[in-house]
Amino acid sequence: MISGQSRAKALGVALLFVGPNLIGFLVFTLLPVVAAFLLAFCRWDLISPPRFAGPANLQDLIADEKFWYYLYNTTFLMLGVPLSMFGSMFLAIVLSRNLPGLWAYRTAFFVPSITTGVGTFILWQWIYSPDFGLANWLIRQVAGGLNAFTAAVHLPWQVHWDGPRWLQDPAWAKPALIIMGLWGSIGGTNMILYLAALRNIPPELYEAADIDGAGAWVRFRHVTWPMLSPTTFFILIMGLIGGFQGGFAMAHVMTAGGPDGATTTISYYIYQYAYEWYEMGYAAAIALALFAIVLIVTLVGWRLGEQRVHYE
Amino acid sequence: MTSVRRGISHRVCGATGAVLFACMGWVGCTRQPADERTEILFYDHAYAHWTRMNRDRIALFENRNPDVRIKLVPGTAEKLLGMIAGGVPPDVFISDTVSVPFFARRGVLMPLDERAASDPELRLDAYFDCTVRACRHAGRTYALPDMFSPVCLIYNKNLFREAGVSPPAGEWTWDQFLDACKTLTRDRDGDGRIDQYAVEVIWSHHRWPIFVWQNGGEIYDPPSDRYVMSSPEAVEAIRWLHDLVHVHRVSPSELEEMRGVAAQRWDFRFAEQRVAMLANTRFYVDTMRGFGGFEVGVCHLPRGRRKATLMIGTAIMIHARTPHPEAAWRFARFLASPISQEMSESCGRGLPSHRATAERVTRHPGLSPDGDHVFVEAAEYCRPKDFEITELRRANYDAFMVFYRIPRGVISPAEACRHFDDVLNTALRRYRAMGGAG
Repeated sequence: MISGQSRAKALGVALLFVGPNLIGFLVFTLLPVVAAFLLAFCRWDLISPPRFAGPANLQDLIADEKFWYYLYNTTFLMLGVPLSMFGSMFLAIVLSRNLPGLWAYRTAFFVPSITTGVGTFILWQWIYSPDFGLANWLIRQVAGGLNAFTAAVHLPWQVHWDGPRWLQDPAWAKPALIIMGLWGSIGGTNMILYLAALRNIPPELYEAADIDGAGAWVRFRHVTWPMLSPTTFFILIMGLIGGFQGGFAMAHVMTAGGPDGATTTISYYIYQYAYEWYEMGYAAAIALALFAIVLIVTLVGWRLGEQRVHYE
Repeated sequence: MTSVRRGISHRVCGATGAVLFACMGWVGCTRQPADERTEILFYDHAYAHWTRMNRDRIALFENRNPDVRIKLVPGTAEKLLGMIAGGVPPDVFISDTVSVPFFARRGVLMPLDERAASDPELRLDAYFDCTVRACRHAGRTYALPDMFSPVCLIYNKNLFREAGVSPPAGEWTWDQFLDACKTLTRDRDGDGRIDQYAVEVIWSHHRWPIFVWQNGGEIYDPPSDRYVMSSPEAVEAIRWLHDLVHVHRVSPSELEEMRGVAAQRWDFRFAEQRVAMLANTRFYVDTMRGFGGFEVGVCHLPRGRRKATLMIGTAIMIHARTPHPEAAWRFARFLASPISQEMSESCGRGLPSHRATAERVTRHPGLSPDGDHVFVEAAEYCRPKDFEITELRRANYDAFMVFYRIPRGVISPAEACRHFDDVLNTALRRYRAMGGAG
């Protein structure tokens, strides 16, 4: 039986430990969240006092064609999420085997994910440079090789591949960013999660499958895949949440949201409204809409996940 | 068991308290003796070499004013805005001249007319008129002129020599310019593809308005309070730029964007000697001096019906609620002084707004670029970006961006001009209806 005095003392000690984190959460998370919610109903240029505008910002947002286009951009860029996920899974399966020099492979694949974002973006800017970049140089080398081959065997075909204009072409800018994202994410944290999950699969399941005469595909389909499903589900949900919030740094550093808005994502649009156009109220309204979208997608994902994820 | 746990928690609390106490003691021990000097918070953009130069000029100021201490806060525009919004504004700050009306309308800036008129150490008539005008709003002076530059034409002297084109000695017309462009655009290796273009047409709103003005047009018409880019003069000017790319093919047609990859592209093309001319400011000269392998010259932009070019610059402002107005004024005045502007110029911040200083620094014999004094000459007829109402930032962005679609052939010059007017006039009507000034 703990006395009231002891309970109070224990609470005091607990608060002492929790306090720094709690204060940080209240000041730097909860307060801004509440402020952003209230600002969504105001007009505020950061310097004049905020003026209440009712639902005007949200009404404007619904009619804002750019918002919907940038939401499409954001969703398009999220095509990288499943690609990255399957890439990580594949890599983890390969690296879970007893290969010689395994640690070197694991390190090499993990390095891109710990490279500074801005450094990576500038590197890829160079890679995608239409005239001097590595990507188009490779394409031109392949074209040159093909032409040499067709000339050697006296075929009449010649190819003239200069490569796309990548970040300067609205049609290629988004795929270019997805490719760059895959480079950084396939061998990153997701691969580590899958490696850990693969180690947790009981070997008896594989032994049983072997006894039943299962081949590699059947073993993957009926053992590995279901046993990895909680990890896959976690990665997918985190990827979706991160995807909706992502794209800011890439747009800010590499493309300024261009060409012609092709790489502007919702998060970059929020930044533009807040810090380039000083319309904090509208920026908060976009953030509120983004929160609602992320919430709905997460809830739907959660519901679907409950039906499809196999927990041991 | 409970007593053991209690003992541990007491020890942990005690240890934490001791650490905190020790930290406080350390902070107390290392605190400097009380400084009696007046502290002025000074914000400027955070480029590394600017910050180094700012430290030097702060040292010089503090040496001359031992009662004032300057605390430099280098940062981005967002930081400046955050400081003002958060109630901890800098006493003195340097920002783009375009932001003068925006801040003035919101009561952020201290009016400086009386101080400027009564201070024997400052004569505003010693500064370029365009820079002083850019510091005024609604008939009052809200800032002191800092560094600036008119847009001029920077050219590769080697490519001109190779093509047998003489650089213009003084003024030249659009037709003469086009003739030179046609000669300068070349297929150097004979593979049927142009690999040297004459000029880089940059579709930024820091460039195309120059040609609209030169052709007798205006972007914004104050009497009617309307944007007038659909006027025949304006459309003709934009079409002339368009034709340089798509008809005469003397300028590369690739898509350009405001920043990022594309912004580097025209730098690269000029540095790689694939483009012979570039309309640019003196802020670019510092970068350009790093290019090797060719000589650079500066000349006037070709003139249309009238001489015109655009001015880009910064201004020195004092916060309206600074607790130390007198010290802030002394520092602001120092920043605008010839010696401070000369220090600023030495790290590539464009041209001093102080006329005599500008003339002196552009006449260094033998220092690239040849014709640096053209920037000083162009300062006599350049105009500030007076068409940009800063409160319409979002609409400005949409309207300005439409011109980047012209080089891709997605939109015609006339459509672009019409779209520009539609976007900005709609936004302007809405802004006026809400009581917006400016």
